[in-house]
Amino acid sequence: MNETKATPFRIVCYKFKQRKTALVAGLFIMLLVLVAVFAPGIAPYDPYLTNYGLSMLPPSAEHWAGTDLYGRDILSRIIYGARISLTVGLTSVLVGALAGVTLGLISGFFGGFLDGLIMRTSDVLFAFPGILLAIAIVAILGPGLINVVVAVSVFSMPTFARIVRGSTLALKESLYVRAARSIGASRNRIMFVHIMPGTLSGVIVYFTMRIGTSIITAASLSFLGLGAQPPTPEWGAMLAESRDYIGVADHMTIFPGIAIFLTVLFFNLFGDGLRAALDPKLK
Amino acid sequence: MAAKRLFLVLLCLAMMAAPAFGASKDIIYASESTPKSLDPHDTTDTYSGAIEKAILEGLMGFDKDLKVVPLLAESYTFNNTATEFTFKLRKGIKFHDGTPFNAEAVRVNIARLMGGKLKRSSLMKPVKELAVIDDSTVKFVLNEPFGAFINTVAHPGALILSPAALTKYGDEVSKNPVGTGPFIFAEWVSDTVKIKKNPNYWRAAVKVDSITFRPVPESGSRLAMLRTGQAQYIYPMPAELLKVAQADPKIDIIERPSIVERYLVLNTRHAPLGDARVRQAINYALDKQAIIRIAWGGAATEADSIIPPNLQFYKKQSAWPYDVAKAKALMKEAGHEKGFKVVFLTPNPSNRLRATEMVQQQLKEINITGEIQSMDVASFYNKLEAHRADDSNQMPFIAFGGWSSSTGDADWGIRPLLATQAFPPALSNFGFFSDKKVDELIQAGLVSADPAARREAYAKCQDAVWPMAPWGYLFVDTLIAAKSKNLKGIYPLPDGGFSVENAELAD
Repeated sequence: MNETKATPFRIVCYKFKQRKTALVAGLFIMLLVLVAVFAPGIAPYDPYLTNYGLSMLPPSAEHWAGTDLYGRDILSRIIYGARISLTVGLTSVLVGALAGVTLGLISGFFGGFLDGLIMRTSDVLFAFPGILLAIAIVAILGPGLINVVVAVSVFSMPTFARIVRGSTLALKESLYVRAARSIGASRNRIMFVHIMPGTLSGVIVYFTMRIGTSIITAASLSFLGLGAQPPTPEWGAMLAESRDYIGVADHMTIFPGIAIFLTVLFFNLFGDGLRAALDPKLK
Repeated sequence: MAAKRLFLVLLCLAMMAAPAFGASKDIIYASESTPKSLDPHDTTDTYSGAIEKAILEGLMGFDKDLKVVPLLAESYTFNNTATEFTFKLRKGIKFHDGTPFNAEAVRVNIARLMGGKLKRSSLMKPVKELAVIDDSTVKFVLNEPFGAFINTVAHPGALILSPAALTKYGDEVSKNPVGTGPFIFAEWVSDTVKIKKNPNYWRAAVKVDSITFRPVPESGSRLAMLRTGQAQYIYPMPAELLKVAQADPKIDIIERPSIVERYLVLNTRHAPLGDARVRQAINYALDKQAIIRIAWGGAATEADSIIPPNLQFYKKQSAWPYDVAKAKALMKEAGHEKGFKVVFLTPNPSNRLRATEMVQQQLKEINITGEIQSMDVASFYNKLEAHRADDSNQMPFIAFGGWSSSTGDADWGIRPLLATQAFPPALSNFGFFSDKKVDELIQAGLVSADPAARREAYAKCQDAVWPMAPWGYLFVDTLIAAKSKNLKGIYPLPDGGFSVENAELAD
């Protein structure tokens, strides 16, 4: 008999599989990533190709999601838009997480003045509602997708820092860390090899949930004209372009709206599933 | 007991009488804008000016096609050199507060404007003095010839306020306007202005009891108010939603040509855009009809001169056909076959953004490419006004511009935009177009008040400018308003204002 050992990873996988919605969400996200990666092969039309003769056509066999104001194929634009939304969502959270985790480790590990400085700065950032902070940052840096990434990273940072600081404070006093210290392990080694992995389960959950929020923030900024500039097929920008035609050509708002809604929903469900799987207290 | 019975009888009588009061005729006008002031001498926006015109009148006014007509003046004469204009005033007219309208009233108003501290004082800048000849005759003496002066007198900025009200309220007259018009100012509460019928109006009986001007900035809500009967007239009617409005049997759509011309300002100080062939190529590369249909919801007509047809002394020019092959050939001839980079500047209301996006798509065909920078209207004009003709590093901008000549005359449609002396910061020649012959023709139109001489000068001027293509010519807006079927007599004016004098509400 080939007995499988119950490693922590296997337990997490098992618990995750128990949650059907999370599993579906995971599959959807994989599909979305594939669509984004292979967009040029999948998209039926060039997302930038205008044809004024085909302006605002409703969904049909040729154009599954209809055409937009300038006769561009909406489905193709949504497919290319997935690239933008995923890239913006992932990079901004990744940058925010890297900076936040490092700051949280430093804050929790060293304590004292550094801790006070980092945590008070986080408190200031926490005081602003996320989207407002993002708007303020983009207003300073100027409109554009890269600045949106910067803005979203900045306002993701303090939460990561706080999560990691909390776990670090607990782990710092744990027996294995004390043992490591007693045999003379360097500070960096203790911080990054012994403590950091212990903080990661919280970070991973928050990371996944955060991607959804980042995508919707980026879309909101583009909707307000602060993010992606025309003719970029960004979902929020597509909504902004078509909102004057609600009641006349609804498909132009409905499809990008669905794309944003499903993506954010599934990232959140996925995050929920991960949280349940990684939490040792939940069976 | 007797008292109680009497009370009941009275109550019954009151209830019987009520329906007669209930039939009062009130109109609600839902607008996009909010009123800024009701002092005509200190107003620059069209919307406030249009409300003022329901309450106040000037010596001259505009009819619904923007032709100048006498109003408080009976007639006028001028001398050959266009430096003296004499007005005969109408007799027997009284302001709403009972003050008689006469030469003294005109003098007080013009003196207030000439005082120089109000926003419309510039209208009276050409005036040296105003002479009161007798109780019903005044004469304006100008510093130098100004052929378009009659249009200046007809401008909403030169409406006549009651001198008694001016003494009583001072500059607070902006919230208490008293004039001779068909409606009397009633109240102004949180951006909503109400005016009521002037029972003694001198021209004709006013047919409605009151009009309320209520701002509703969101265009979908405006249409919804009209459809549910909460408003009887909306302006502007959003072109994007025309299909919805047309399908509603209770609604009439009113479409009228405006005097708002839209064009692309090309920075002629930037080397490639300074080449007339490149600017001509841009005009050939623009699919004007598609831009009108898609970006503007069809609510415009292709521009066929540098000024719109409704302006005095307009002369039709031949159109620039949409011809990409010709555009490419011109680019090649100018040595810019490979194209160049520009910056597309635009204000951010969605129709202008759409139009600019289409310009960006179309100019890509002749390899003129660049990013769009959109911003709010005020920042947009601040940005254009900040450039100077002698800046060493010229920004290669193509900006979505628009102009409404509120005097109804060719002079104000051409001089501020294309004369060399109009470079910013003086006026609005943002593309720094400069041509000696054009400057001379603009001047020739100014130095005479003789319509024939002015017509000739402006005809030559339009003929000269059009082929030089200082702009990417686009279109002239069509105004769209919508009203409930039982409302008659309200219509939009070509300058974006409106006339309510003949408003009538059918039962």
